Amino acid sequence: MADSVLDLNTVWHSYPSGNDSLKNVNLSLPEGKRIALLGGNGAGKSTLMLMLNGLLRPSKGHLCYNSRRITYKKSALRELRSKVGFVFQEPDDQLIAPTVFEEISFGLYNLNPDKQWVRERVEKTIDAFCLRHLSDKPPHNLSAGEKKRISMASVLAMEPEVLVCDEPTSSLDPWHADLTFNLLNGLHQKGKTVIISTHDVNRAYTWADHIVLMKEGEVIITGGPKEVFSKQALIQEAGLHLPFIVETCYALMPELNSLNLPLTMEEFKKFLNVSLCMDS
Amino acid sequence: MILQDIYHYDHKLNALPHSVWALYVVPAFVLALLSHSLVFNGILIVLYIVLSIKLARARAIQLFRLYKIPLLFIFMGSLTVAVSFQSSDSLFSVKGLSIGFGKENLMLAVETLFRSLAVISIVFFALLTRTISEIAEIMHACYVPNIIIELFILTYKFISNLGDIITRMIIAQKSRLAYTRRGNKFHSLTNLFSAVFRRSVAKSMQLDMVMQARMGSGNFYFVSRRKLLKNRQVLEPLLLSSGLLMCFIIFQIYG
Repeated sequence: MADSVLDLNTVWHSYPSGNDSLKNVNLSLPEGKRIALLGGNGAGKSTLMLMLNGLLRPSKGHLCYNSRRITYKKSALRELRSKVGFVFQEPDDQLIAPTVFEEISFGLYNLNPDKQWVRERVEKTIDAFCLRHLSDKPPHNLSAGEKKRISMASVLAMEPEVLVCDEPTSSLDPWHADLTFNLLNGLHQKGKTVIISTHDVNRAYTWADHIVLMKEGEVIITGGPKEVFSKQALIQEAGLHLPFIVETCYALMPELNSLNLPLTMEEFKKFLNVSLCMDS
Repeated sequence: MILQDIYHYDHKLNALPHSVWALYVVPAFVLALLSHSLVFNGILIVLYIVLSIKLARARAIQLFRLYKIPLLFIFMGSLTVAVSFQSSDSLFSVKGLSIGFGKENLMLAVETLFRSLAVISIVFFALLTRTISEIAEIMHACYVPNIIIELFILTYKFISNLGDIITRMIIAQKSRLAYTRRGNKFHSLTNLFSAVFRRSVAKSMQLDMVMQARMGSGNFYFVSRRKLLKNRQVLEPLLLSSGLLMCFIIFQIYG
């Protein structure tokens, strides 16, 4: 098991209305992994994610980054936010600057007030994200896919160790969704920890190394995708469906051991070939 | 109509360094405030409207819409200056109160009107050739107190936020047959106000959160691309400023 980069210890959170959005959450998020937070609406995924960047403070319990407890002092929050980048669900909420160049400069300038350094880093990010043709345009007039790319670029320019993305593919077409996940995979290959929240069980199953299943503010199970999705009753309890691959496999072989579940489409094709040949 | 809707990001002064851009704006602004000449202020009004169309790429009809609100206030202000209650200037009287326009008052009102319009034309030109963050950067470089910069940005953000929310809310209301009858107009309007207030507060909180997530501390500071100074770029604004200064001196001396 990899060392955990973020730990939530007996964390509770209540909104001013009195509703508990997180209830006694104990969670360790492993370093360098692709982690998916799964759950229906109101499961507490977004609240939990906001907490990881220090935007929300637990009502009870505490958060640790690299085993160090977050004190919520100004300096501690600065350090946490420089290490944990947060990409909001709606790019329109996140994009605040008049041009793409300035948008990317925002976080960097807060990180380091040296304008020359900021400009160099912005130029690098613009090239890395293929945004050269958009750099002087206003972000608000761009397409949803471009906006998403810019909001990710503006966070990743700060080179955080952990990237937290709230619903990274919401409002994106499949092509842009694939593009976003390619980007996340690239970060993972560089050793970064990537955390996403999603309802998309198919994507979570094939993409994530580690799954956190939530329901009504509680974590009901964590583990690898095969382990989590073999618990059919819990998935249903969380208001979700089984991934297509898992459902098909169990339909063909109800007694299948969860360890033998195919993870990728290639493995699934092989599985189908084998199982259909066995039938015939 | 708000400035954000008109702003062209590919305007012709885009690549100009802020210091050179200031040559287009600052001398004219100071001269407009100092000048008492109607002709000089008239020249400034026409010149800066033309510059807004040519350099800032704004369309004449958009500019006209933009001028509507300040024009209303300036006319009202000028009218109060022009009105005289002295019996010698009386045009008509109501219950013994003489109302008319005094010659001196009228002259002062026209002067105020022209000067205000000249200043507004220059300000609009400035706002159509620099983004809000660039203006904040310039103000910061000019040692303008932080509280004034923050107030300026907050006002701008608030207006743009409010405009955006109101537009969307009205569309949402109209799609459900709001404002169709005289009876439901008032009800729809009340709903609009309360909804806009709630949404504005929520949106401001969201904006604050978004800035905090990237280590922002409420300051609206960005870094724009370095604009390299070329000697040729200085020539045009320098000629413009010199021309305006000469005009100013001529009109001051010869009226």
